[in-house]
Amino acid sequence: MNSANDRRIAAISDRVGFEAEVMKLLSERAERYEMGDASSLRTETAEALLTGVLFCMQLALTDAEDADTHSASAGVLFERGLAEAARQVKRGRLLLYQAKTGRPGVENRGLRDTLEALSTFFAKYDPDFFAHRIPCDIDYPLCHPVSEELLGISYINTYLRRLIAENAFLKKLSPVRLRSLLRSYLGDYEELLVNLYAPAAEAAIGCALAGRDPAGLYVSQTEREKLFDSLRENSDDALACVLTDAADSVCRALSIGGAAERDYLRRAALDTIPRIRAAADDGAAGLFPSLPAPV
Amino acid sequence: MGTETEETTLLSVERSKRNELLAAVQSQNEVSARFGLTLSPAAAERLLKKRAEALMDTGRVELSRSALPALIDAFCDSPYLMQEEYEETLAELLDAFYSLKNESRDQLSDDELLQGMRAAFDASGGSTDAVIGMQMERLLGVRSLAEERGDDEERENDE
Repeated sequence: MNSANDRRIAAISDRVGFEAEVMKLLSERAERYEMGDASSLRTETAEALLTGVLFCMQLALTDAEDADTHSASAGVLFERGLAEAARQVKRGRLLLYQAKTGRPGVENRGLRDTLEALSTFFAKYDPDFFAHRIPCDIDYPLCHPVSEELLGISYINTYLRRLIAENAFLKKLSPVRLRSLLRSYLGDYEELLVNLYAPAAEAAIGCALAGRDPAGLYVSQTEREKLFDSLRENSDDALACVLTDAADSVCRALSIGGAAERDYLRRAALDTIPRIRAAADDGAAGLFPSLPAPV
Repeated sequence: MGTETEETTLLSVERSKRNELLAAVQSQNEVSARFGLTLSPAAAERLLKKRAEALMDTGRVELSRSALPALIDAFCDSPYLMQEEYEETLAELLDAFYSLKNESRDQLSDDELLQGMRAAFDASGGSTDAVIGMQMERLLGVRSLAEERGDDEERENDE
């Protein structure tokens, strides 16, 4: 959520009588959830229903600019949020299809299991009552994890968009080189719960910084040491510029044209700054991995 | 959330819900009086307090309506209910109702549970301990019995 959305939500929740409206709405939702069979429910169920209601209202308010939304009742906001959740679910199914068809040419158990689990999400997701829930296990770690503050379908779609950006990059690399890099850097990468994108992205950025072809994923030990020495002489701002330029040059070399993929790679490049600083005392081990030297 | 005006609004909603429940409980006197059972306004107030405690203790909430009027309705014609112990017995039955709801993992509707509780109460000569100690198999048996009855009726209708 951005600050404009936060302000919008705060303005509505400060409205006189808003809590009473929400409580009435919650009673109606609870009645419907119990299908009129039960007068009471567990506190945790009531809390979950309330979180679901509030999440839907937040969905309705996100990026809503019209004055009508701001004066709408809790019930109307909830209904609009439900419609927005339904729209996002449709979008999510397409994203999942894209993520499945765009899998990289390397195997990883975590990635495979997570893609299967995401199908379960769409089968089990219940926006009517628990729109905030994520009814599946997402194990595969992303290079840039999705904030735990995102809930339900918002979390899933953000996760899928990032996964697609990662896979699009990995697909630009030769599977043979990629496997060799991952094997030398991570060991049994097929079975481990590890992110495949981060080492490949760093390796490509390292190549660009050393003036080599990013698709080659190889820099010599001497080049790495020289590179590391020159990088750490920079201020943080200058380093950020150098790394961003390197990420852009990787995108050009690999014909990555999408803004999302480019921004994602830039973030991965910038993430190395604290490690470049921290590694100043104990060498460049682990930074800008490379394929083993050709024999 | 949480301005002074807001709190006043919420308090007035809470108060009005409480008054509604109090009126509903007292209106049950019209039916229960036929069986020699009534709750004084003070007793009804105390019962509502005990209901709130029971809900808190069992980790449950009632949002739109309460089970209390239905519980009175389900038990007031039991031959084992006496006026002297009416208020106390209702409080114990209400405690049992919420705990059994939890124990049944909300698989039983209010009506099914009340039906099972009433059967156990009468079968034990009016013991609330017997209701509290009801076995889950027996409770769920109430549902299978009701389902069987439903199936039989459907079959009869089909024939």
